[in-house]
Amino acid sequence: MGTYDYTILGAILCGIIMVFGGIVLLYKGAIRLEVASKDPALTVEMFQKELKFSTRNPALGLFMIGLCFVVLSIYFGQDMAATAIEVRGRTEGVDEQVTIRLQSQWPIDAHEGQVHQVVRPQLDVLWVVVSAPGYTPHYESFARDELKRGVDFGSVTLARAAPKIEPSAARIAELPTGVEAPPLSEGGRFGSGGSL
Amino acid sequence: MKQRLKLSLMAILLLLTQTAWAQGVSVYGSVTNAYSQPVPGVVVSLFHPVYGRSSPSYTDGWGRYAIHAVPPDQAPYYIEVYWGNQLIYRDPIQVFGPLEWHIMLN
Repeated sequence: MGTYDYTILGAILCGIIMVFGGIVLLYKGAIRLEVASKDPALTVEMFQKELKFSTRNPALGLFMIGLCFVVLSIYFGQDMAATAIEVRGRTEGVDEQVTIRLQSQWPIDAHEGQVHQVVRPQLDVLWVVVSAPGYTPHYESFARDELKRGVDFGSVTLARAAPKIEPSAARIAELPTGVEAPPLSEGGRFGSGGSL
Repeated sequence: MKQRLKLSLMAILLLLTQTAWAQGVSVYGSVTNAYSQPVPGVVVSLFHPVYGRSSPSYTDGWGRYAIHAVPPDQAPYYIEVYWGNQLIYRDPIQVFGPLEWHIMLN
């Protein structure tokens, strides 16, 4: 969970506290519903004044602010919820270890290979990448609407592009004494592998 | 008051450190075989004795790879190429800034 997720959860918590706190205060008699003024005690306008809440009762205002917190947090937090996506498909004619990856792509402006940009990931398009060493990878894109039905890339046949390369000690530099490289499966401590 | 100031400064320093880490550079290039053919589908990964292993990059149809957000460091990185899970190449590289590194697998 990142800072954004914590902010959303914090806002939901604040909303719930305000709503239930209001109920408790009403129950204890600290605030009363019948205390109302002629002028609106609270007016909330949202979405460029298209949505407007107004109350003459300050006690109800507490509920409304709390509810606004909850509703808006849920609205803005929709994208953070993990969407379950069913992936189906198969590969044929590949005699190497096949890797199937799902990846989203967001345009990043890089200057001389250097990047510093804030990206808000969204699942508008999801790419399925089927690859195997020595074979030309297969790319297939799925739009957001299609994802609800799952990702089915059918039957994929990869074309061999380069012959197998056998390991050779001449190509593998020794690590310093006492240093041991973790296995490939332990990747992801830093950097982000991507494409050019 | 002084305690608060110290805590605020520490928080700012922490944020700056995180930003510096996030502002890494890119290491990119291509992987070719002895016949200068591009080698697609292999995994390129960076290993650093302190930072550990980077996220993997899979070469595309042209044998190109890219690993972004790599923190520059005086100590060398080791760039590795895997054929599936089999290590087939490792070489030390210095990453002081954006680096274009082409790998030829003879």
